Amino acid sequence: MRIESFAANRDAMTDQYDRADFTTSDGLAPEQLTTEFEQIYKGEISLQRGKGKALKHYLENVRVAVNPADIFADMMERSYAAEKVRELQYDEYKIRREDIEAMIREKAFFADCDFGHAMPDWRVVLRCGIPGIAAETELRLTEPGLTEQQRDFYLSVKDAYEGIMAYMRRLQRAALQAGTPNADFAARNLDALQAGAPETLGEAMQLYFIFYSAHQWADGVNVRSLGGLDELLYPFYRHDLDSGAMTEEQIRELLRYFLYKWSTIKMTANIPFYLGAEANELTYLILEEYTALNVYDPKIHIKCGSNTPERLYRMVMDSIRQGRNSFVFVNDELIPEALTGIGQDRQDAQQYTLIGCYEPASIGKEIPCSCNGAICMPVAVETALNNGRKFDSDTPIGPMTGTAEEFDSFEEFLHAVQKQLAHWVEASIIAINEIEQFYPMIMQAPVISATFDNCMERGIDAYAGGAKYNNSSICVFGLGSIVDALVAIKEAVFTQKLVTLPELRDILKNDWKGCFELRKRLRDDYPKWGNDSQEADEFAREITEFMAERINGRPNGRGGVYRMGMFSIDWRMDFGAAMGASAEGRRKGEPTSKNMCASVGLDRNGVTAEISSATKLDYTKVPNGTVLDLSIHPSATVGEDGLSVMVGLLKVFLERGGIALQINVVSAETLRRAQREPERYRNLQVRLCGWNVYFLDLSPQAQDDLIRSVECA
Amino acid sequence: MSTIKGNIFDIKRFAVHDGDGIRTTVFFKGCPLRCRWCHNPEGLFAEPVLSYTAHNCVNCGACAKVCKAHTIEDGHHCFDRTKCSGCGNCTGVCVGGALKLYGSRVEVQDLLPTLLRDKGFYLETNGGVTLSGGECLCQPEFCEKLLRQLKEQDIHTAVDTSGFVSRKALDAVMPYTDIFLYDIKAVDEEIHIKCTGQSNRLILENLKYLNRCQKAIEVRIPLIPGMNDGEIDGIAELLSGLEQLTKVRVLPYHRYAEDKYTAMGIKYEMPDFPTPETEETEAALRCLRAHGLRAE
Repeated sequence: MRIESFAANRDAMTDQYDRADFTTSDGLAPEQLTTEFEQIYKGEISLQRGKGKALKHYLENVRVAVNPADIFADMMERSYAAEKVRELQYDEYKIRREDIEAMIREKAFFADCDFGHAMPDWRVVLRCGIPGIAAETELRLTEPGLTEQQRDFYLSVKDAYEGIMAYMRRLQRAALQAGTPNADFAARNLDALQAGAPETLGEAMQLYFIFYSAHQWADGVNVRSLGGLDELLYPFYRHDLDSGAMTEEQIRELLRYFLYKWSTIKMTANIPFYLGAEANELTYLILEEYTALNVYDPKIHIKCGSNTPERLYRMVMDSIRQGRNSFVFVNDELIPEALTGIGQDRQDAQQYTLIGCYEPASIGKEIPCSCNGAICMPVAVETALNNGRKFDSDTPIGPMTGTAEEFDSFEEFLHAVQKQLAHWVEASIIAINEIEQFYPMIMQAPVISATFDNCMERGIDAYAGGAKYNNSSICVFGLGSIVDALVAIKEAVFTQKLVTLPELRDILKNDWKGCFELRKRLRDDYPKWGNDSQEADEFAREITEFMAERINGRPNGRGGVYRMGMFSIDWRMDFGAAMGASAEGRRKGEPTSKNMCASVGLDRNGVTAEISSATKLDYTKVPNGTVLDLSIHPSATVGEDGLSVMVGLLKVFLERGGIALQINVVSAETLRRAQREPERYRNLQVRLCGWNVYFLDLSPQAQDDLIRSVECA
Repeated sequence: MSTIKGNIFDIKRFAVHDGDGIRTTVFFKGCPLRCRWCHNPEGLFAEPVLSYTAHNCVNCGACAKVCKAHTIEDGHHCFDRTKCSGCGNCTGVCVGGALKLYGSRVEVQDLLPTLLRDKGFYLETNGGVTLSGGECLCQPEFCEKLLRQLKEQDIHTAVDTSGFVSRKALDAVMPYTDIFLYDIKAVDEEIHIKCTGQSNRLILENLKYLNRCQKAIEVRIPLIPGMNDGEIDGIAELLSGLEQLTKVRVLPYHRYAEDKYTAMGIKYEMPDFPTPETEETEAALRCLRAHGLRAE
C-alpha cells in the first residue's frame, strides 16, 4: 500500500464536497435525474418495487467524482430525488386537523413523521459486503411461496444493491482516471468490494463511505450513527497488523483520513459514532488521532460500564479539557433497562447504538424515529394560567381548565397544568399515528432494510413495519423551566401570598413591566431545579413520571410503541421565542431550560448540585434519552488532579443512575457572552489560584483581563 | 449553655483548589493578619460587611426604601457606609444583585446538612470538607465541634490556616483534622511584618509543632512580586526539614481581588505590582523542587 501523507492532503480535503466537479463525469444532470427517478418510481404499481428500480437507475446515472487527494471515493452529485418524491407522497397522505394544527402552530408541541434518525446494521454491512447482501437477496427470491409484497420488497433490495455495485464500478473508474497514489488506493479497495466483503481496514473504511453515501444521498435516509467504530473496525485492524500488511503508523494515517473525511461532509448536527462498549487498542488509536485532528465532527459517544477502563475516561476527559467537547458519556448499564422497559428483549436492548444526539436504539432491530415529536412542557403553565390559550392568543390550544381567578389551591392549578400536558400527549400521538399508517405509501428504504435481519426474513421494508421494533418517539423538554415556574407559583402565590394568581398572570402577560422586585423575588427566593433542592427535584420527578406514564409503551401507527425522550436541542430557542414570560423570572421570548440542566443562570450551587438533582430522576423511564450538560471552569481541570475531578464527577453521575453526561470546560468565548448578557450568567464563577469571584462582580477591565488569561491558558 | 455559633461568609461546593479531590469549603470571618494582597477581604473582619458592586446597580432605589444608609441622588445610588449596621435588609430587595452581605452566624447543625450533601463526590475523589477564611482557627471551639462531627460522618477534613493562631486552637482541632493547608509567606521576620503586619515567629513554631505531632501538612506559598519573591530559597530550606509535608503549592498573585475591596469600602494597600510571569512561578517551583520538595 502506498498513499500520500495525510498532512500533505488535509487542506485539499477540507471543502471537498463543496468543491467537487461533476461536469466531467458521465451520467445525468440533477434535474433530469430527478425527473427520471420520479417517473420510474411512480411507473410501478408497487411503490416498493418502484423505489428499487428508481434507485438503481439513480446510482447508475448520478454523476460521480473523486478527489485525487482523498484515499476514499464516494462523491455523488446531490439532487435529493428520493426526498423530493417522498415529500410529494407525504403531501398526498398528510391529514391536517385544524385543532391539532393550531397547537403546533402556536408551539405547544410538534408532532409529525420522522423518516431519518436510523442506523443501518453496520455489522451486516461489514460482514457481508455489497455482493454478500445482493447474494442473500437473490436467495430469498428463490424461496417458494413468497407473497407479491415480499417479492416486491426483495426485488427492490436487489435493484438497490445492483445500483450500489454500479456506483462502485463508476467510482472505481473515476479513481483510476484521477491517477494519484491516493486515488489508486481507493480504486483497489473498490475493486475488492465489488468482489466480496471487506478484508482490510482500507476496504472496510471505503465500504463505510459507499454505504453511507448510497443510504444518505441516494436512498434519502439520514444515517444517524456510524455505530461502534472500535468494535466494528477491530477485526480489520487486527487483520492488517497481524498479516504485516500495515504498521501502526500506517493505520494511524488511515484513521486520520477516515475521521477527517467525515468532518468534510459537514452534516447538520454532525455524524456520530460510539466507542468503548468493548474497549480495545483501536479505541485508543481512534481517540488519539481524533484529538490530534482537532475537529468537532464526528461527535463521539462513550459507552460507560463497570468494565470501562480508567485509561479511556482519562483520555477522553483530557481531550475535553483541551476544548474538544463533542463527547457524550452514556450509561451502558442503564440504557438496556430503559429499552427493555418499552418491551424490547434483553439481548436486543444490550446491543444498542446511540442515534443522533443521545437516542438509544437496538442495533439492526429498531427504527426509533427519535424525533417524531416534542412537547414544550412550560407552555402548559402559560395555558393553565390563561384558560387553555397562550397569553397573546385567542385560540384555545389546551383544555379550558378555568381562568386564573378560579383556582383556590395550588393542587387545583397543578391539576390544570397536568391536563394541558396530557392533552398535548394525546394530540401528538393522534397526529403521529395518522401519518405513520401511510408510511408504506410515502417511504421505502431498501438500502437500510437489507441490513435488518427481521426485514429480510419477513420481506418487509423497515419503514413499513418490517423491523423487529418499529417505534416512535416524543420528547418532553423544558423540565427546569416548568419545575421552577411551578415552585415559584406554589410558594409566592399559594404559600406566601405575595401576589394573586390573576395578578401574576397579568404581570407575565406584560412581561414583568414595572415589576422588577417581584421578578427578582421569584427568581432568587425559591428553590430551583438543578440545585439539589428537595422540593424542586420532587416536582421534576413527578412531572417526569406523569409524562412517562402517558407516553412510554403507547401504540404508534406502525405496530410499535412510543419512547419518551427529554432532550431539548434547538427547540428550546424556537419554542421559547414563542412563549410569554414565566413565573420563575424568565422573560417573554427567552429560551426554555436546556436538556436536564437548571434554567439558564439559576444553577447556583455548582456542578455537584446539578448532578445530584439530575440523578434523582428514573432514567429507565426515558428510553429516547436525554443528557445533562455541565460547564466547568478550565482552572478546575488542570493537572492530574483536574482529570481526577472530571472522572470523579462522571463516576458519581453514573453510579447514581444518570443516563448521559456532557462536559464543557468553559471558554473565553463564554466569558465574553457573559459580558454581553450579564443576566444570564449571574452565577458564573471564576476561580483563579485558590479563590473565587462571581465573574460579573469583576470590573469590566478585570473581566477583560481574565478573558485574556483564559485565552492564554 | 448557649450553642456555639460560627461566623462565616460563604460556603462553596465543588471546591477543587482547597485540598485534594472535590470538596466543600466553609469560609470563616475574621483574621489577625493583614496580608496586603489578601484575596478574600470578606474574611478580614469579624463584623458583617456589606458589599456594593456599582456596575451591577440599576439605581432602582429599592434599597433606599428599607435603609437610610442608601439614598438616590440625581437618579444615582449613594451608599453611606458609616450608617450601615450590617443588617443586610437591603440585599433582599436589591434587583441588580449589587448588594451582598458577607457574614452570618450559624450553628454546626445548620452547616452539616450542606457539608454532607456531596459526600458521594468526596468519596469518589478523595475529597472532603475544608475550613478556610479569614482565619478559621480564630473560632477554635466552633471549628473543633464542626470537625468532630464531620469525622463522625467519615468525612476527610482540611484546615486552611495562616498559622498565626494559639497552640491551644491547634490542639483543639488537631484530632479531627486530616490535613492542614498551611500558608507560609516569608521566613524573614522583617519581611513578614512588612507583608502581613505581624511577626512570623508563632507561625513557624506552630508549623514545626504540627510536624512534630505528625499531622499531614500541605504548605501554600503566595508568590507576591516585590514582597516575598526573595524568600523562596529560605522557605524551601525551612520546608525541607518537615517530614509531614505532603506537597507545596505556589499561588501566584493576581490583582482580581481589587474590585472586592472597592465594593466593600476597604482600602486596597497592595502596590501596583505586575502579576508574576509564568517564568517566575516556574523558577519558584524549580527552587522548591531542588530542595527535594513536591511542588505544584
